[in-house]
Amino acid sequence: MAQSSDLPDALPSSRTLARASLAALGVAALLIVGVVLPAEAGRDPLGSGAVLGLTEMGRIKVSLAKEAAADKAMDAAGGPVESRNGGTPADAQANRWRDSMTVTLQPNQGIELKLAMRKAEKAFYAWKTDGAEVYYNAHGEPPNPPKGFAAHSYAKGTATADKGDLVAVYDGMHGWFWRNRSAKAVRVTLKTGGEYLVLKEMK
Amino acid sequence: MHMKSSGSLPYDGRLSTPSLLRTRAAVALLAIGASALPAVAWAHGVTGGDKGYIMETFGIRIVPFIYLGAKHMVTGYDHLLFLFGVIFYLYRLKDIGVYVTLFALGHSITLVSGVVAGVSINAYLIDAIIGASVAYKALDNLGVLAKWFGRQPDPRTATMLFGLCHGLGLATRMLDFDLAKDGLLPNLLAFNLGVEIGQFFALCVILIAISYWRRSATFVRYAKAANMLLFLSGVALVVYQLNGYLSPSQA
Repeated sequence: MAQSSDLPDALPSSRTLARASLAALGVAALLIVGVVLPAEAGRDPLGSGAVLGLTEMGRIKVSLAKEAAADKAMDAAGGPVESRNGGTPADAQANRWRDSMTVTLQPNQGIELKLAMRKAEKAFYAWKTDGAEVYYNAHGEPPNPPKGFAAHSYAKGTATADKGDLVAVYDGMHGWFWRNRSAKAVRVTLKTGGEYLVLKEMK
Repeated sequence: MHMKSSGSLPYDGRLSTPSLLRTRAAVALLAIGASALPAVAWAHGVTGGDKGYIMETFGIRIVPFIYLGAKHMVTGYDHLLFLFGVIFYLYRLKDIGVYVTLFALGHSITLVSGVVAGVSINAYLIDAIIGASVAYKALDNLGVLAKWFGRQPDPRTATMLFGLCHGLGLATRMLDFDLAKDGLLPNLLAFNLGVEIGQFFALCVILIAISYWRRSATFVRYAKAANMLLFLSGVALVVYQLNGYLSPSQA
């Protein structure tokens, strides 16, 4: 297409081209140090990342990558040790809260509370924070998930409270991961009832 | 919000992402050499990268979304290949401006309306169409289309149409990010603006590179070969994406 407009005189001169190349190199270097480095690695040598609000993104990515690496290491070590003996079996007293736990999340801290459940057991729950929104991810894992196993996700999002039922999709640990992305400490209170063995904090 | 019972398991598609990334990585190597890859998914409920960031934050975040839009464009080799094809025979800045504006207009329309309306097309299919757009542009540059159809299809219309397709791909990607309703539209517009900025930077680099090449005699000698290579890259993209679409792991 448009081959008719192949005018040799439309080519830039070497001078223009050299200038454009230098300018592009300069801009690229500036962008890499001032924008990409904060946004990807959380490092901010020029202070521009803080102004643009990109350093936070980099820090979050770095912390997520660290968590994922820790998860992998845990997988390699055979998964978290589970105690399956502390709980009382679910009985007829269905609609009663059995456990309640309150945890305090410092800024950027993440905590996981989980129920040991057998497949198809049904628990009910309610959690709320003392004000600020938190990120939550309700998910479940079998006892010794194979390498690269993707946890089953029940629900995720950001909220100040949530309640409902949780039906285990397989034997294993099912529960909530919360993370506080606000600047102040947040308390999360979880109440659980129904069919499960034990509620515990995952460490 | 109530958790769903085991009767209807919400599936977040995380299992399919790694294979998509592998495919993309292979194509990237084939096409233009390895480049930065988009968000990586991890096991155990930890989602890393851009997606993890978006999932764990909320509210209006203009600059981060501009950044993500620009990053998506600059690291999206399929969009870049198409742009390369579009400006291959464009010498005048005015022409380049017209075509790039048409392309940008097309993908802005489908990106914004696609996300707002929640229109999610299978990511493999839309990426296959984007691959087809690369192959189409190469054939156009080779002058084959004029031979087949007796006349040259209007390249402006084609660029606009493919802009609309590329926008659907961007929308699908945005929907995959599970954006919060809170601040959706401002974030979306920021992402779209970022796409334009990224496109502008990418275009500058492509233009400088192609200008050096145009000055050498090898440009005339290898222009045809370059477009054949572009065509093959487009076809490879289509094949890889259709393969991903048809493979059984894509439940």
